[in-house]
Amino acid sequence: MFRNKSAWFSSSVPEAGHDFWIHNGGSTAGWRTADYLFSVDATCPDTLRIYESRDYLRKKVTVFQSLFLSACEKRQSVKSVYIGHYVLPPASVQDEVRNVVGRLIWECEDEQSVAQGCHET
Amino acid sequence: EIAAEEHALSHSRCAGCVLPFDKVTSRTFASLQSSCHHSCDMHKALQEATDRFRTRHCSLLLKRENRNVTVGPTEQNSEES
Ligand SMILES: [Zn+2]
Repeated sequence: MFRNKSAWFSSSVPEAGHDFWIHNGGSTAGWRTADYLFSVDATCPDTLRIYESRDYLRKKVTVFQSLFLSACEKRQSVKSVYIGHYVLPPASVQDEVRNVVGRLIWECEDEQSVAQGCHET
Repeated sequence: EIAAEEHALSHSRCAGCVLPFDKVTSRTFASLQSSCHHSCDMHKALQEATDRFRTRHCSLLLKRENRNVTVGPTEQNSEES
């Protein structure tokens, strides 16, 4: 599933997400070079550091919510899970989005399969 | 370029919503999303709020750099670690 893809994991990501990535052929790399950056907690210091980096401020990097991996695991596929729904923005941005739309994208996408993952984390 | 835009069947789906995993990474998502002219409500709100965050932090960063000119680039160290 993740062959030839590299990922960086925040320390906030549960071991299971990490394992799922590796077992499906993914590799890991530093946050500056990894293809995908995963975190569950926007306030975790390692994730905050990315939001405050020049790369982030210049739109060169996006952090994804690792619930994406849980959703892929449940479906045993990446094809039907849209990673664009799993953007993890800084905490202040999350609050602004909730004020406007009422929820974040991953909080409404396919409630049956994602809701479970939400409670686990 | 972005197929999603061509078949934007409804306003509820935008490039950010339909880009498959293979076609987007943490490196490309932000620019793909901002080049999409038909963002859905959620991606639009997300993008606007994120842009405000970037603007706020860019000015903070500039202030910090100006202050650091005489002290040395401490910023560099914290970012590389
Ligand atoms: Zn969208």
